[in-house]
Amino acid sequence: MRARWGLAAMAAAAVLAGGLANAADDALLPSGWTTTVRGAEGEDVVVGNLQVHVHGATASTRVDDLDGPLTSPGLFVAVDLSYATTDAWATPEVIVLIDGDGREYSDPSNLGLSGSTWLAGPDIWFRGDLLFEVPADAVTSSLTLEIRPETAVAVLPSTIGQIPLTVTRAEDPLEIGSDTLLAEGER
Amino acid sequence: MSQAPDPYGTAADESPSALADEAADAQPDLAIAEPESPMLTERARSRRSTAVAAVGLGVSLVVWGWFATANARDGWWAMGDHVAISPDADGWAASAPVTVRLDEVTPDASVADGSAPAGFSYLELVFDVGSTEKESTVSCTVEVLAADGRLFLAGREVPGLGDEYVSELACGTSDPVEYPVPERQAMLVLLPDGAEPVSVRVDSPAFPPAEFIELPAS
Repeated sequence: MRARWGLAAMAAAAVLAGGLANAADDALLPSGWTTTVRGAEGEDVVVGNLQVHVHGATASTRVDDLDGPLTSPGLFVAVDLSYATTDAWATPEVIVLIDGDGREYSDPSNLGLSGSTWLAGPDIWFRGDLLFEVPADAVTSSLTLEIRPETAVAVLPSTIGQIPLTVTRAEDPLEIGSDTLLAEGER
Repeated sequence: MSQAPDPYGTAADESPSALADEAADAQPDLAIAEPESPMLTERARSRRSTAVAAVGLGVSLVVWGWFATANARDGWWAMGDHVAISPDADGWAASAPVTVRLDEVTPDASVADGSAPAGFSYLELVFDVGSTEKESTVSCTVEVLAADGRLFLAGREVPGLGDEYVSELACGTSDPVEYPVPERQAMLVLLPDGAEPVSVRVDSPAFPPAEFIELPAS
């Protein structure tokens, strides 16, 4: 009788192991098994292998491009931030803006100006601007900068960072500078 | 001195039980073996079945796990640096098609074209390079491993690139006559103060999967 209980327990363990693996594979891993780090402007935030310091954000309907100012039907948002890595030289995989309705905005790569992510080193900080283009109503709701430092691999968990932004409106065109290396201790 | 005979000995030795014991000694198997209890037999069989089932379950789970993780294991092995090639007695390390030797390491190097930002210094590395690659251009990335595990890429945010220093090692050429691989190449590495270089890693997509060259920095 004891042996039958043992066999039943092993069969149950096998079914449970298979069920858990299947549940993890179906529900968690492909949809992004992530840990979210929440930070704030003006402080160093460590997200995975990235250290980030957001200084602020400015919105305007115009931005200075190489060929003159560009005008958006919505708004351009420039996020002023610094970042470094913790381990090796790398470029953050994805940094997006998310509005209060959950809509995501990535950098407008079709413009001829800088404003995309850049390469940074371990404890070697660079400061620059990330440029986004959003509908005008997006700024009225809360905007959050979401940082995904590493390539999302479906079978691996990952860490993302979320930093709520305080957006300042500007009438002048935004000026997007290239990233610059910072001296020790500077942000 | 003779010992007195045991007055009861003979009688005891010839008792029925003593005779039975002698018979048992003479044929031990027959005497000890008792008919197996059906309960005991059933229990032993159950234990054996349980043990076999447990082993089978364990083996099945291991085999299943091995096949289920095949892609992840292959990717992990091929994409990562797992096999470090060390230098020989003369300092040369080889990973086809490249042979390389770290000839000079100069911490806090002074560079004519500019000084390092506050809190940083330049580490100068001079390599001797050989290559058997004559059909395509091959570059090698160089990283400095610090004692705390940080990896610092050579040729980034440093002066003198394209002149005295290179941003990547030339490790192969498609035109060995016009543009041979320079036998001596120098690089600068931007290091934060406090970083202690332990080794220099040379890597290239041309190397066999998982291989990289690791040269001591001292």
